[in-house]
Amino acid sequence: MIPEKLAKLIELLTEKTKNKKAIWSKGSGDSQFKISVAEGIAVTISSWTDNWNDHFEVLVFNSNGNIIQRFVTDNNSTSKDYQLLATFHGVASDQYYKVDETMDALLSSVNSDEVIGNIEKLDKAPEEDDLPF
Amino acid sequence: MTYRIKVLLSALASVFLFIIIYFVLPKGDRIIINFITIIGVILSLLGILIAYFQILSVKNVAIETQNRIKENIIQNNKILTLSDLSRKAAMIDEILGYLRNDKIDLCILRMKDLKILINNLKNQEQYYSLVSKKQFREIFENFNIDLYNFQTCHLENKKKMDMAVVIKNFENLSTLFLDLEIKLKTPEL
Repeated sequence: MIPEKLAKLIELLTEKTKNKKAIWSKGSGDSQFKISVAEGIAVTISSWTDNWNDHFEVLVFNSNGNIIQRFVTDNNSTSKDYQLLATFHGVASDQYYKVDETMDALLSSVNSDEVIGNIEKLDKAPEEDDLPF
Repeated sequence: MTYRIKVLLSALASVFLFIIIYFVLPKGDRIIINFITIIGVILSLLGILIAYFQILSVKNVAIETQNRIKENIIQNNKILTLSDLSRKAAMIDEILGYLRNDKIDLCILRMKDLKILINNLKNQEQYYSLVSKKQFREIFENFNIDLYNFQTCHLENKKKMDMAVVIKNFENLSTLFLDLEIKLKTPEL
């Protein structure tokens, strides 16, 4: 069961990220995202798959770089905790990769009357470059 | 005003005081015993004044010595920090070497040593004027996350790491140390 305060923090951060008021950066984990919250305090959310089981891990670092809160959830955890962390990871990832902005730009580009895509130019090798044999 | 000048001026003032008293005294009282008394009082006052000046002079010497000691401590700290920074930069190269050779155990050990050194540096507020506090905080956060990821990846062997991000973080840390070292060596820049 996720600690109450941590759950509250995750909910607030998820909401703030959805409202585009939180800036995430990439952590060194394969699918890890980091946000600096206050003076030297950082929160990370990461995910990995192991034996067809999806894991999500949230960490809270204090200003001395020590972990003060850690919570891991997987498919076997309670649905509420799993859903909370999965959503949190999803919004952090979307914010970092700017999914909304990219999709909006794509949609407006496709909706417009402008021609999209480029004509592929095949480079023809000049005759003099042909091999002599 | 130096101590010698103060004593000389006090002696001159005593002589003037004696001359004034001599002319102020009624002619009938100008006898040897009175003169001896007046000279005695003036000399006593002069002695007290000289003692006071001497105390002031000793106090100034003590303050000056204290300031010099402080300056020397700052200078020594600067030299120690400079050598410490060079050591830290060399440690980063060593860690990157372990990473290239896939020796994660040694890499974690060295990172733990480096964490202690960075923590010490973080607590020395005198360097905040040389580097951006935000930049330092961000680099320190990334370093701690990297250390945790190395430990869990090595133990659990399930997670994977984004080595491009790790190397970028180490490069940022190395740049910060070099930047700090240059600024300490050439404070006018």
